[in-house]
Amino acid sequence: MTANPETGSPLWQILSNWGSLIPTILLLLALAGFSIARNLIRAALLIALAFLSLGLLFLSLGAEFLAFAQILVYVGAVAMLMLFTILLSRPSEREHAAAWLDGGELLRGFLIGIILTFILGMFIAASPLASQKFQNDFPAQTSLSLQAIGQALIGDAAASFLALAVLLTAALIGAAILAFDERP
Amino acid sequence: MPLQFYLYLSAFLFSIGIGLALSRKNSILILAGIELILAAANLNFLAFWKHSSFLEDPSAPLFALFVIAIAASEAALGLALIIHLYRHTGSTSADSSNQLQG
Repeated sequence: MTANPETGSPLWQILSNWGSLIPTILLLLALAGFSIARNLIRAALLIALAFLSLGLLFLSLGAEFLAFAQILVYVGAVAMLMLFTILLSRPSEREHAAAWLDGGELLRGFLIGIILTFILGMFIAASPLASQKFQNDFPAQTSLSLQAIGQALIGDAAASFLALAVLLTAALIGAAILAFDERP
Repeated sequence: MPLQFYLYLSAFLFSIGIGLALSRKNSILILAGIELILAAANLNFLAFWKHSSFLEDPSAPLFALFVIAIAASEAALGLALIIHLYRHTGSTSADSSNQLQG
């Protein structure tokens, strides 16, 4: 793996040489723990770890802005929302005892996952992407600057950016109305 | 890392997400599975971008950014729905919301 020493931040160089394996291993471990976790709170913390390692993987792909957005949004907001929802909706004792995760559930999920991974893997292996045009490592790294993303957001992508802002506002107002408790 | 590495990883991530969303009873974990599916799509976007010759073009990161924002709003709405459902049925199990069945 050859990183051009002239371009890219030093952090990026370290990550590009060593960085994608460690987050991948972390991601797989977190997902494995998440899939078999019986405790809901532990599952939420493990999915936060999975999102964090995915952010590190984005970092190793050279998309720093995306990586920090991923960590801020997923680890900071989505996983914490999941934790709050779990704490606000305590399952009854009976449901706790009757195993949120029974053997059949685990087996079904496992079978679906394995079969789907196998099918998708066959497609990837058979695709022309396996040709050697893509076999080499990254081209000389020129990390996309934050400035370029900002200019695109107020330039070409301004309309979709505004539409996204409207969508987010509507979704948050809707969420607040839905979760509002009208009992006195 | 070659492109295939990321493609296999995101295929695995997608499959785990589908498996969780289809097999789990708890609505919160179903939502987590859907988030994993969207994250797998994002990983694919960035991997293809990184291995293309359009590294100066911010389209792929922008698309991934939009996916993150939409996934966040979907999660916020979904979790609010789950809290609302919990008030009605006293459970977050997806099987307990069966009042519309004939």
